[in-house]
Amino acid sequence: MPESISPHPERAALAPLVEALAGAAGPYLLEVVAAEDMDEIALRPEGLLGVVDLARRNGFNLLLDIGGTDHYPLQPRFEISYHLTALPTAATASEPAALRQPNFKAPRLRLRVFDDGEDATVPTLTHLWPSADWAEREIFDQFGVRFSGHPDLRRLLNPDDFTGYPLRKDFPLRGLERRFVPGGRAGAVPPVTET
Amino acid sequence: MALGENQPFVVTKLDDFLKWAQSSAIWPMTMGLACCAIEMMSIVSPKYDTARFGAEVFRSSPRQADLMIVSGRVSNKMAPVLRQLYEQMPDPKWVISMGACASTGGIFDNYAVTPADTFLPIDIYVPGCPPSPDALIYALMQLRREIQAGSKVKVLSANA
Repeated sequence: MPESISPHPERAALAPLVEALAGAAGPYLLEVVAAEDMDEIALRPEGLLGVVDLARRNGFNLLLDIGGTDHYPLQPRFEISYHLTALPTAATASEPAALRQPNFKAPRLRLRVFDDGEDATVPTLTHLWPSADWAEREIFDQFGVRFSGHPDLRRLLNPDDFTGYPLRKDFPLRGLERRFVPGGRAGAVPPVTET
Repeated sequence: MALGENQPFVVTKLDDFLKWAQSSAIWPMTMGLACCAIEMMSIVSPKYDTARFGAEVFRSSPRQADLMIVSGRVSNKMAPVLRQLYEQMPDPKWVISMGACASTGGIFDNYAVTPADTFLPIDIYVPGCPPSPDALIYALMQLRREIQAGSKVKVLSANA
């Protein structure tokens, strides 16, 4: 159920926009929270593109990072968190006096997308921010969350033939397979591939 | 050309000459994997100065090196790369496993890291996290003794 919390006093100016963003999520909104550091909107993946689109049109022009969390055994299991910020641009820097204040901090926004299951899928943001490319590949690599529409969804950190998704909570710490057998001189030799 | 009366010369066995040459000019490969590489780099600094032992020339090509110092944790993704570099080195060649991670996996008992001796023949293990440059120089000295003796077994039994 949507839940409303009174906005943080320092971020009162942002409250109408946060409300509009929550509205853009429509039925996929989970909750809106005024956290200590920034406002956050929790939603289902289906609502992500609408919210991001509206945020972009209202000055949130930079995607800082995309994070992944596995809340296993809680449901829904996977959380993909997006941090957006609104850097002043040539167009906006001239108008609001707030930007000239000595303690001005660029407003930030956190989107928390929750999905579940082995085939958890979140829409990609690579067409909006190319920097989302590797961040989404890393989350796919480590959590097995897929990003629909991603142009090149391959593993980023682990070997291409790796089995499993190591940052899932139910992944065994030592992995599902032993790739190299101990034994030194007599031990197994990894394949040498010419590229 | 015949030797003149006052020209000095030395009589030796070819094997001994080769061992002397190999052990006196060990050329390590420029390859740093992790934090141990910082300690490895300092052994060529003026303070530790492995130039005293003819081992200061870090070659940037495996084809010109005869010593691989595995200086840091080896990830499963990096291991085939290391194996390929090792096979590109000309014989005779030696491998030093530097530090806890390269020798046993160290603190990384997980899916990502493998000990170096699971895919390379290691001649000398250097303990430490990281080993001090002195420890690495000691390993270098031990490797010289190993080369001069012709086998690791002779060195170990001589030290015992």
